[in-house]
Amino acid sequence: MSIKLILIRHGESEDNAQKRISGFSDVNLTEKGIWQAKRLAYRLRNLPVDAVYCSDLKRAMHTANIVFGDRGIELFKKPNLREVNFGDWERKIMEEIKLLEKEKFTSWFINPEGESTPPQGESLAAFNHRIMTGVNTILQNNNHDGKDKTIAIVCHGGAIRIVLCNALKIELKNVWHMKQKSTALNIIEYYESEVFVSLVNDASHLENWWEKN
Amino acid sequence: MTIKLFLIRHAESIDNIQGRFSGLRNVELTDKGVEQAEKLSFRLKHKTMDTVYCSDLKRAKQTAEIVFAKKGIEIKTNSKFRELDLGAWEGHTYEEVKAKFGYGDEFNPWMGNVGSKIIIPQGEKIKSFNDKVMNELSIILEQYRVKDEDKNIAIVCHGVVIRAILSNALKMDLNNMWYIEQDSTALNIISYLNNAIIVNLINDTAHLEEWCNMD
Repeated sequence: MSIKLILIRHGESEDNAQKRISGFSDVNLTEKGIWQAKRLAYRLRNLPVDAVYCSDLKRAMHTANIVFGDRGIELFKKPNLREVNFGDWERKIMEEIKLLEKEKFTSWFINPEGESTPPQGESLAAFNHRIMTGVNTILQNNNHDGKDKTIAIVCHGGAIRIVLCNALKIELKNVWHMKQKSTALNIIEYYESEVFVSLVNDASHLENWWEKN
Repeated sequence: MTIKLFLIRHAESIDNIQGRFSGLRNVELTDKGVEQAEKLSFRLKHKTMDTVYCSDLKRAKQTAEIVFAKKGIEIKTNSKFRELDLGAWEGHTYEEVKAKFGYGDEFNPWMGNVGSKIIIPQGEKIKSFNDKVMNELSIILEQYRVKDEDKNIAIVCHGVVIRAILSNALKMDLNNMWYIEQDSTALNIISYLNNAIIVNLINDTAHLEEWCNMD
């Protein structure tokens, strides 16, 4: 029995384009983000998936709809797959927060247990717990009939990094050492007692080397 | 400024298809391996490298020549980027090694306990292998670290070499490196910034996938 988990980051959002922080904020995809999702849809068109889950934020649902919407399968919306809650830092310009809240910003991810979260926001440990509860429930729910499955989850950069860190047993404070591009594809393979990471941050569908004409 | 390191695993070798442990064995690429390297070459056609290094084992040299020869760039062979020395296992299949050395359940095809519970007879220790690779890499990074200039460096090498470098970048326990997959001609990218190391890409073989090889 194995589950191949395909983790997909949403396409470019309005906040991404303006370099703003968005976690729980429900922003839309940009035109470019929609184009990116269409490229990914083309790439994955022949890949069979058994189930698709997505965060209930618009940017993830819209991406999931473009990539998997024409397959006639239900897209399961899961609020616990949302991005980290940045509290009072939501929708602020990233570089400004880094300057204004330098110490808090640094200690937020160096001390995941969370004495210094974003004001009204989530600690990394709480975020980790929420995401892994969500992902483990999905894995268990697809593990009842002994068949190999391919499951897709469309969610967010922080959430995907958390799942990858757990798979590779990386400490939470090092979660930001991995990049996640818009519509990045990541693959983790779950076997009975082992977990393998077979792809991280592949966005080659956005590159142009493969376009013959 | 930023150094972008492109780590490329060699293409399919004769030992790969026969399921044999290679280590320092000097095996050649298969015909399919040559084709894989040509596809990677096509993918990287417009990518400019400031320097290209390559392990001195044949399967890596052949791969590097196919991928980069047309660019007219010198390929520097470096024995420090050789595969892990697999000692008495070399040339044998997993089943043969398991029977010959009487390994039990702790021995598995993905090498999960190698270096921790299993020591390879006459083989190299993971820790000293890692130190050798990382020392050489830091010398190269130092050499190419130029103020206000970005650089691209490629190293064509082997599965365990790449896993070790990625594990260091991600601050992983070396014993867990086996859980990162490395397929033939896999592309991996790490960015070395002034104050941070970011892993951009792991085990990307999109150039071998059907969706981008359609006429």
